[in-house]
Amino acid sequence: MVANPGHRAGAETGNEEMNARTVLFAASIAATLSACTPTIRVEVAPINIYAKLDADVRIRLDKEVQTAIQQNPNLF
Amino acid sequence: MNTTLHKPLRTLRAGAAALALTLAAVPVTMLMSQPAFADLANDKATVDAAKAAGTVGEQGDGYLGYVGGSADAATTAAVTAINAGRADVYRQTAAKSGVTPAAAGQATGAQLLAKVPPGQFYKPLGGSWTKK
Repeated sequence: MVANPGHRAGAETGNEEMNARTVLFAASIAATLSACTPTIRVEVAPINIYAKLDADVRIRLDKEVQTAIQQNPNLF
Repeated sequence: MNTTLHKPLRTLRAGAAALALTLAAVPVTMLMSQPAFADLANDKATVDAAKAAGTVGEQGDGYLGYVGGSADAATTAAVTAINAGRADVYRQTAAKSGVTPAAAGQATGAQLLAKVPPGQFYKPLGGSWTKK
């Protein structure tokens, strides 16, 4: 009878330790994921921007770009 | 009579003053922008040398990049200056064409990659550094 509550208390401390460990583990995963997310966005997001433009927009943009390249010989 | 004579005179004087101000402002802007142009010309020469040496190359996003991940201080300064100037141009082109600056950069990058001379490095969008 006396040993049981003690045992239970011990088990609860064990659970708390487990909980703390789980929280830490989750936090480290969250930190890892959030650390990776910007890199993924930077690599993936810009790839299709130009390709996804409408054909007429792309033609107009290409002409503007050609002019900009010619007008800035020190930059291109 | 006096007032009718004075009015055109006053307008003339104001016009002359405005003209003088405009004339004075033009050489000042030229003087101020000339060192920037000279700097960019030097930066361009530095970057061209780095491109020939294989340390710097054109990227599909329209900006210059470092083939080996980094470069010496002088090259880095030149690359940074030119990329900043390009960002300005992409913002202007984007505003004219109704697209994002990133799209304008990619459109430029596509044209620049086509012009990369043999032997120099380029990095297509989503790809890695490649020798042409």
